[in-house]
Amino acid sequence: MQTRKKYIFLTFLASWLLLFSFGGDQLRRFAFFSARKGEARKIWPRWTDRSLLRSFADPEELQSDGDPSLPSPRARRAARLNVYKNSRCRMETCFDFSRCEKNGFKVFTYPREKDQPLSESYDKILTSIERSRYYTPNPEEACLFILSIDTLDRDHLSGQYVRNVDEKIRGFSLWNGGRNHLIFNLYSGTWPNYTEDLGFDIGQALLAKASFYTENFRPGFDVSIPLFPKDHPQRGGERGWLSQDSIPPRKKYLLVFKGKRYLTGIGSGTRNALHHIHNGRDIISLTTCKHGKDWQKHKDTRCDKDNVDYEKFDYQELLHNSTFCIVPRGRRLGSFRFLEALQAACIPVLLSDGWELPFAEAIDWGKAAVVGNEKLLLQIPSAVRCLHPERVLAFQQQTQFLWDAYFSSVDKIVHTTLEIIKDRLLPHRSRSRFLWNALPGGLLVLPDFSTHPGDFPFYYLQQGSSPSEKFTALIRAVSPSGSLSQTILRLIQAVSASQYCAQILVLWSCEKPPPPRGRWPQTTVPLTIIQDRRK
Amino acid sequence: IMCASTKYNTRGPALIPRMKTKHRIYYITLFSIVLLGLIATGMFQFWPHSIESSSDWTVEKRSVHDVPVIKLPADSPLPERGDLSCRMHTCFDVYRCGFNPKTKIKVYIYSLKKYVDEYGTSVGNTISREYNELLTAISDSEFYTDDVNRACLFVPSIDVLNQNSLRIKETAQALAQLSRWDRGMNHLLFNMLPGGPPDFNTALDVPRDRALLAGGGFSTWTYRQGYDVSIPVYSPLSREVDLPERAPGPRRYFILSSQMALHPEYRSELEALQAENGESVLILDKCTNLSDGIPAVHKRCHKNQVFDYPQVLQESMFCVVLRGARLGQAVLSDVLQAGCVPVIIADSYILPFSEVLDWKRASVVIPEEKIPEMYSILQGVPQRQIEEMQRQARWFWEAYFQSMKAIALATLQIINDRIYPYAAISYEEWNDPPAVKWSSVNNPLFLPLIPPQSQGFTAIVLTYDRVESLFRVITEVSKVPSLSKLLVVWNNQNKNPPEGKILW
Repeated sequence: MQTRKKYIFLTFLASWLLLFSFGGDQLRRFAFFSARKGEARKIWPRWTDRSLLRSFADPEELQSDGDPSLPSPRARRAARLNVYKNSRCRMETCFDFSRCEKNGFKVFTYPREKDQPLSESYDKILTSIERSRYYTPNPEEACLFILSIDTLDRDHLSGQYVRNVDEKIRGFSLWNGGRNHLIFNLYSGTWPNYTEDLGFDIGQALLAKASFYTENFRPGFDVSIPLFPKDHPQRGGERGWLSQDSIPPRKKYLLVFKGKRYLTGIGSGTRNALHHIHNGRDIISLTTCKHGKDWQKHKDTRCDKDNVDYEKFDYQELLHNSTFCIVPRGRRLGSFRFLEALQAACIPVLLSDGWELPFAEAIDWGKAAVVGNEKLLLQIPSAVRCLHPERVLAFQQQTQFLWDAYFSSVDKIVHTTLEIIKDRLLPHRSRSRFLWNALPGGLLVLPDFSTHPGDFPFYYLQQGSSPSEKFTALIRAVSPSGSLSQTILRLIQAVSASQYCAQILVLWSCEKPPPPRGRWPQTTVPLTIIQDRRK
Repeated sequence: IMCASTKYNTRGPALIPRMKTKHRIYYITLFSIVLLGLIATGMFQFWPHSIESSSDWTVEKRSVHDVPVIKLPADSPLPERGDLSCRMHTCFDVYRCGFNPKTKIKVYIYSLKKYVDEYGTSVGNTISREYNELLTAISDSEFYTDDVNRACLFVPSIDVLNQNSLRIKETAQALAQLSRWDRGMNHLLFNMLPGGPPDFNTALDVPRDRALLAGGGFSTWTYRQGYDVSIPVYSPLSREVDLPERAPGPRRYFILSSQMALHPEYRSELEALQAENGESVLILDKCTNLSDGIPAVHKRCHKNQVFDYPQVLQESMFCVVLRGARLGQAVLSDVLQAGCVPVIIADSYILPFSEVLDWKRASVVIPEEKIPEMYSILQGVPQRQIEEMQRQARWFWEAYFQSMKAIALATLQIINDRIYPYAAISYEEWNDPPAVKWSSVNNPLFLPLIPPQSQGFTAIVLTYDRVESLFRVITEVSKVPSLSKLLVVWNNQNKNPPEGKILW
């Protein structure tokens, strides 16, 4: 009897609890509603005369928006050139497109001067340009100019700071107020406020700069590049660290950071807060106060304990074993950490408000990084925890693709910069965002060939299309005599007999021009003869 | 479960009769209390639903003319001019948005008022049909909240869609006296026709301090990237005319220009194109000799031929969208609706929703100076790509241009994506038509992976006939430790490769 009673009691209790737990949310809301009873929730009124309301503009006004009395478009374009200069430069006002029309996109580098030592990184940049398909040694046919003065480090406390740049530039006959010049820079400004001033007048030159602040960035004109270390490989570059069998995608730690905590000055606000999210289990956020010569002077109560914890973990080990990596601003907005995390497939969580992300004109960072807000640091743990595993895996894979396609070597960084600028010259012949952000990446897709994804086999899977069943036969004729030999004729006939042949192309690489149309055999499939112009 | 149920079946029914009266009463009381409790809980669970859907949302039935009138003193404060350096992290208060599991921003709409100046003259049109539609759409969306204290974004009911129909200074004063204005922080204004004669600014001239602007016709100099939102100029014509979707493919004309008030300089350049390329280029103009009853906005003429607008847009592959006094043109919406590929000629124009839409897939952008080369440039676009663009153009219209609702929701979604970037809508969701399902079924196992991690090389051996030496090569090559795969290409058509595992 007793047990039975107990059972019945328990059953009811359990069902009641169940109902409560499912309906609890509604109950809570009910309580909330009853508190605000009387003031019913309001939506935008459905006006009784809404169908009688006037349109915001009558059709006539919308369709004839062009007062012929206005200044002529040509005059307006000319006037624009004088207004939008320097900090308001855009391609259409500060760049001379006519230089690129005749010879296409050609890049010239100023001859290197013997007495002027170059930093390792700038030397690599120049080498990359000289190895690029767009390089020209002839300034006459150039469209873009690159200085041989090392402008990478413009922190005047640095040893690599080059003095009197203004003076040197004035001596260049090609400078032309900076028109069509591209200036590379990794570090600008110095303690205490690290302004983005380069310390010389860049005139109308384009700026390819790391740690760009959005307000200084001239959209469609400047290029934001990543900060890369001086031992970044010239070419090739290391692979990403994501192994193929990284499923499930979550690693040992959820979120990590190990780095300096600035006790004072710019950027200290962000870095000072990072230790708050450390929980010692899956979120590791370690900071050290040891930074600069006089850190002891500013040190606070946390410092000693933090410094001890800091030594307990290894940076590389954390990088390898974490799903997300915090990439906060340093003194400047960008950091080496960004590329390191990208390579390690540790999804970057950016805390760097106002940073114009590297190559953001082309790259869709929303797919590879979590763009956080410095003010909302405490929301980051729950935000990244809520991400679904498949989303996490997609993020990881995108980091690997981007690393491999655009960042793993100086060559790739420099060539991406050049391709982005080249794409602006002919907007109708440029890569869409899709081409930049899908495997194998923008550097391998030449718009000179095609801008249509359907023309490239690597997008078949994504586009849901499949290769055609037919083939195109390419015959290269190198016969020295320049006449149609029997072999070629027989080959053409044999190939065109195949039911899978779609067309035949003959690349005529002989000294003499190809024979006239009539002498070629009649084929059922189209036959195109291309004369090789080079040889 | 099986066990429990059999137990109840055999012993359950006999439970009550076998009990003593005292116990029985006790049990019945207990039963009914619990039952009542259950019913009450059940009711609680479903009741609030009904409250939410019907009785709690009150719908006012009033006329626009009955809204309260607010008099603005001549010396009431004026907001500062828009700050060009504003970005989300400097001029927007994210703390108001908070973290919520739904990752949706909350949008509050101020109630409608009629504003008059000291002399009782109205400040502007109370509300236009389009702005009413836009606010209705926001109010019906899941972004909406009626609680001003929980809101993250505020939308004034002051209609600034068309700058020409309002008084600039007084409208600014009306904005400044809004209850939560606070220097325009977290306020969103919608404007489609900015600027006025003679210089036609590319952004709304009404001083608005830090407010975000969703504007149609931004230029690269007035658009605050990552802060403002570029929106289309809505074309009310699309409400009146229904253009059924046409299958992509060749059309009668190659290039068509349908705008009426082109600057004479542009028109002469276009006419030169027509003279050069003949029939395939059609440059239309306003009709001069129409009989009175026919509205001029629905007709276009070329010499004596009369065409229906916008139907004629469906007859062409490419449709020219040239800038007028303003950069944003309503004709862009008509062109997209017709599934015609827009050729956008408006230097420095920020295309609608350019933050998320990939316009290179739906349009051709040509610099103003290149109008004479337009024909050859367009000839260079492959046919397959044109068809893709036609489809994409129509899809953009359906998803983001079609109605004020579409425009409003896309704008809010863009702002939402900035505040909750980790929950943002992806490129594919913005740009791929829903019919294209292949891209959304990304099984994580088949996400593209970067070159295989396995070290080593693949050996390819071309062979014709000499089996013996082939085998020797295979045995030699396979000794190399870094070999990962061996591929033999058999080139002999007359003979099959040797069969059987033993041989190899």
